[in-house]
Amino acid sequence: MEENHLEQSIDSNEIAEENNFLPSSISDEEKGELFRELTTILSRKWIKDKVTVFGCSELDLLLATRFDVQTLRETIEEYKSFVQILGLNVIDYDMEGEKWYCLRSSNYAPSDLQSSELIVLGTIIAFLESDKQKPITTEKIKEKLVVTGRMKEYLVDNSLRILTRLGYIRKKQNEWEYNYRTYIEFGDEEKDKIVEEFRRI
Amino acid sequence: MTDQDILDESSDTISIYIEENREWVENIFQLVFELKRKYGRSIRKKEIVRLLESEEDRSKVSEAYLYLQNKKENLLDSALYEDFIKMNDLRENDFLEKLLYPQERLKTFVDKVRSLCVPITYFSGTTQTSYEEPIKNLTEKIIELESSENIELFMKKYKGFLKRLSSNFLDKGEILNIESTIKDKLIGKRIKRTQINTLLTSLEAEILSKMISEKKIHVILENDVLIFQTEIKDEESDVVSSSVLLSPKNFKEESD
Repeated sequence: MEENHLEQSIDSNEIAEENNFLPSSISDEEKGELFRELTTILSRKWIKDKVTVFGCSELDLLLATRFDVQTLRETIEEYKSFVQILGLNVIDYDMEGEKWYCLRSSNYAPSDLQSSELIVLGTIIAFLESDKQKPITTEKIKEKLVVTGRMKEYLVDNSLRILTRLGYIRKKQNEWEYNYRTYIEFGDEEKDKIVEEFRRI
Repeated sequence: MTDQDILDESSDTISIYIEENREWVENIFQLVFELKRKYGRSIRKKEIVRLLESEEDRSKVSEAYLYLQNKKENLLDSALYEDFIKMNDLRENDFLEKLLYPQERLKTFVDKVRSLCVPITYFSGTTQTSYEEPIKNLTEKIIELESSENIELFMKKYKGFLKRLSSNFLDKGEILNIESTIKDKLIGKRIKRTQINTLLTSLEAEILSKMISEKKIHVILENDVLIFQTEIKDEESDVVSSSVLLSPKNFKEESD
């Protein structure tokens, strides 16, 4: 009986210790280690379900750090001010209802996209912004770009494929719509400017 | 008669004139209002009103200021004039843009989209960064082939290019299978060097090369004849191992 009691008390002590694992109780050294690991995790690019994703989901971070949500968010807030000196921003985005974190340069960074892909993406943004009710099909894009002789058909197809893989757009029932990355990389103002510029081509 | 008197008199005459034409003034105001609405909408939607039409509209309301009295009406009149100017700017810009070549217009569009994009930063993972020479180089060459003979010749000539490339991933069982078929084919036989090309597929040749480097199979060359063995005598075991380059011609089996 006594042994059982002892075990129980040890268990409860361990639980209490785990619960006490708050940022205030983390030493500076540990915090440095944590931030270094966070930088590695948030700056990676990988492929999930054939779509490129960046950084890490909140759920995975929670599992990895064993923090509770509140603590994790506080830690990330602190981390934000830490990386801001390096010219980076921590941003969160929504992917299928889940919250994800990744890094973005606060200054200029080179884009992943090449000219043909930028044209196709710009076209889709312009179509979607000017009239949100109208569906954007591949035919409509080709009508604008291929039929008028601006681009070759295979180039458009290839660009669409690359854009889908990189997480800019996705196809839903034959219609194109934004994926998470367009929301991150293009703000509302920028989209309006693209619509403006699109009128000129 | 002082200046003031003249002014008073003239303003009196104008006011009398306006009093007489009250209905006319209302018509003018209505016209200004409608034109303001038309131009406001066109500018918002970036629709260009043609020069002649615009000039006609302007001349219609050019003397409207004489009839409009209160501040609100005057403001509307000046706003309409501002819209005329904006429309003129829009029309000129549009005309100038049309002088650019379509490719250049596309290029400016690309630059604009690129400059507006603030990409995500990443330091690890697969990259897709490559320098490009866009659009310009992408030309198609149409090859005219009239007769079916020509087509066959063409297909024969470019067989290598037309074949779809695919990378095969084999699991261990498959590799073992191929190894056993190679053993069945080769072990204990004397095969001429020239014959071996037709005997193996490229996949088998590759696996054979692997087996030789792993010393699962030993090959001895005797005057243009290859002898394959699984075991080797002691005095021969010190031979230098080397990689083997085979160029199989057995395409048919491979496609199966």
